[in-house]
Amino acid sequence: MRKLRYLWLAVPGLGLAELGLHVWFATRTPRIDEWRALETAVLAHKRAGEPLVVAPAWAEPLAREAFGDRAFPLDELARADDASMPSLLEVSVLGARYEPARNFRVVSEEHVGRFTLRRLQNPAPVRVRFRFLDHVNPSDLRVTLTRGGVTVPCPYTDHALPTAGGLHGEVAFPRARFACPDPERTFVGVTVIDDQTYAPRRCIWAAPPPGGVLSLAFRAVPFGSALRGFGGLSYFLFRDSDAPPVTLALASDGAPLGSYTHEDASGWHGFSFSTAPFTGQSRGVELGVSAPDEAPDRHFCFALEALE
Amino acid sequence: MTGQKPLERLDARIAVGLGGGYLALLLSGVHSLGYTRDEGFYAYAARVLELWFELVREQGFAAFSRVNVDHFFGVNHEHPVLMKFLFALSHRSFHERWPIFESGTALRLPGMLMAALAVGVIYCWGRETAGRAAGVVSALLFAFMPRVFFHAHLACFDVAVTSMWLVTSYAYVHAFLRPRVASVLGAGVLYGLFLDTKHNAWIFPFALLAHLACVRIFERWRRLPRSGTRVPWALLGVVGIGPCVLFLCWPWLWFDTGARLLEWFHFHLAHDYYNMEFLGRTYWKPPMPRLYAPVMTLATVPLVTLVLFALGAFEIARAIRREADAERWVHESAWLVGLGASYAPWLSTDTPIFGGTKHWLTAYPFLCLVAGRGFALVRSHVAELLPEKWRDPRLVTSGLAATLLAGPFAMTLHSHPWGLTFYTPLVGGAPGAASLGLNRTFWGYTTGALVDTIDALAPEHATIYIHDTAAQSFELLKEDGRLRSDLSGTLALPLSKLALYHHEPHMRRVEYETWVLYGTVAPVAMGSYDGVPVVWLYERP
Repeated sequence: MRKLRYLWLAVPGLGLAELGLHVWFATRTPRIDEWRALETAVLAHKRAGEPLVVAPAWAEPLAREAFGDRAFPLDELARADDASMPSLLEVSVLGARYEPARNFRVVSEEHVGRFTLRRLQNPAPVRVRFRFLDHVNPSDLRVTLTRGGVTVPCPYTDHALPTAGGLHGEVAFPRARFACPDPERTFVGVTVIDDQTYAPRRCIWAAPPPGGVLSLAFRAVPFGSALRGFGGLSYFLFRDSDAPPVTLALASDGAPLGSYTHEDASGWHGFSFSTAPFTGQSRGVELGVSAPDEAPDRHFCFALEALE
Repeated sequence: MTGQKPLERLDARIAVGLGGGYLALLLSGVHSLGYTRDEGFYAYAARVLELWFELVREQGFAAFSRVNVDHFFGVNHEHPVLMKFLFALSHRSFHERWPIFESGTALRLPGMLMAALAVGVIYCWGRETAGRAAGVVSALLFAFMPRVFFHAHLACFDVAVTSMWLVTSYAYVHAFLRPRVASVLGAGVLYGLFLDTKHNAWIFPFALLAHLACVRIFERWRRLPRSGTRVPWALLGVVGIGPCVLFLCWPWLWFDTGARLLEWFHFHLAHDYYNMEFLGRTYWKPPMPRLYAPVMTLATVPLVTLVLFALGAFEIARAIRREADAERWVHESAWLVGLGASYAPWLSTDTPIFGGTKHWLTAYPFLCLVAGRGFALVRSHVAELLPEKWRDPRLVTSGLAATLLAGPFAMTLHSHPWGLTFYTPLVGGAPGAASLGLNRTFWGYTTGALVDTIDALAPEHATIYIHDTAAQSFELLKEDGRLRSDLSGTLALPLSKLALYHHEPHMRRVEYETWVLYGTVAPVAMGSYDGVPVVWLYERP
């Protein structure tokens, strides 16, 4: 019992220990200058089509500031998911790992200062033949709007007025788009939305017009085993929404492939359709985006890939 | 038997010294702290009240007509007017008339004075109940809570209402024990001013009823004579005089009183739910997490303060069991009730959590007073362990206090001006908290960290997308000369040349909009704290 008296000294000891830990935690994370100094090493490792990922995720903005756009092409940064990525380049600090790719194999590892660079190999990547996002241009795509039995073209422009609604407004509407006569949000173009984890997803904006159908016709799509896609809309804006769903109908040269119905609160949600009978063929793909007539304010954005 | 010692002249000097020192410390760093959203709104309301002062000077009683009251007090009428009145008075005096402070600092001065007042009163109350050293330690533990230090700088109501709860409780306990006319009236008037500070004051009468129950149960249990009258005069003073003072001091209530009171109640009892990240999840609607308040307290209050609180609570529990000191219990039960009542709303999963720790700042003075008891306990036991020749009470006290306060002091200074990003070592500091998914910032105040970069990069007459910073807060930065006067703030991203982004998960879409419109994902400047990014800036290529 006499020795237990000395436990009282643990209280000032705890005070000093907390001070020491504070200093340690405050200084153990690399500062922006260290990130900048890593740029050369990262760009030397970076391969085209191989997304750069940062662990822990909260450090990624530091990496974007330090390494610049060359290390973070938007199509890699806001990719639909990791399944179709053959490999990833991971920059890690504090011993963290990029959690979504925990099942990827570490094929190389290099320590640079307080950083670790790892190349992660996908054990079973989904092979992609054609990404529709890369073909939102007038030579590969034709867009029309059908309403009240009348079909009008939505011509392509790269001089539209870009807009963004801020936190509570619309997502960014890009300068390049297939613009339909009205309303303003009825167009087809590439933007970025927030998914159910508020992560970025680059996608083809195709908001259905009230009482009409927005049609997208892609030319010469090389078909493989399946079409794989994701549908979504800004999760922040629609996480509480119980509005009528949006339907994306898919067909190929007039032959129906199926349809996907997207509920607002689903977030970024995957779907796929078998195209096995058409494997090896180059065919057109027609997409029709619609919502029930009573739904006046429908958003929709999607990503689609033709798989090997 | 009573262990309470009346204050001496020296104690008044110590209280003033502690409060004055804290005020000086707050003033020394205030220029580096950007303006929060709410400060922008309150600054605007204060400016309107300054115009009303002019009207009073020019038109006398006509300024109190309904038309004028509605016009000048209608702005931000969801909050009572005392602090906005003081902001206006301070701005008019210390910036307009005598340009001692920059505009924003003059607006913030009353809030800082309220924080200094709290530090002084904590010392006095701790001194009366647990001795001089415990009083000093209690006051400094409060002063060196990093989140308190952050809020103490602001032209907001949270530290002010914390101070008013403390001061009113202190006055109430004295009026309870010695019910003279002056003390009862004083408690009532203070409660009126407390009501006129912020709506936390609604809880106070219920806390006093709980306090009365605690005291009476203790007296009955220990077979002690009843303290004061059956229904304390102090309680009657609080509930009788307080609302009258509120009515007199808040002209908005002079017309359509019932409807406006109901509107006030409804605004806060049915408040909107804003987003708040907690343990990796963004909460924006009920049910809110019950663990929010305890976990955030553990994650932001220095552990040594919490351990001293736990030891103090243990010592108080032991005293309840062993001692029949009714007066001590009257004091300490007021602390425990104040603490419990401040946290109580967050037992409900319907209570919003958007303001983080500021919601229950009112608990912290009481937490620190109990911690002062803990300090006294530790000191007595540590002294016994020392050899006879080292048992100089002053040496033991000052050495122990320095050891215990060093951590909170260092953490608090280091937290500035990133107060809402600060987390204690218990969760791994700011990096650990970011990994756990605890909120990194809100209120858009961290624009203050990037003003030099904005000034350097912005073309002449450029428009800056200000994101979460209120337009009025951006204007305050310009008025203080921290931002170039030719720049304009906007919420229209397409019109902007530079774009700010203050990180909260639910706001990330705003950053994605910037990517699409600016055609870059690479910020040009980063405001980070301990290696954790908090606010960043994009430049249109």
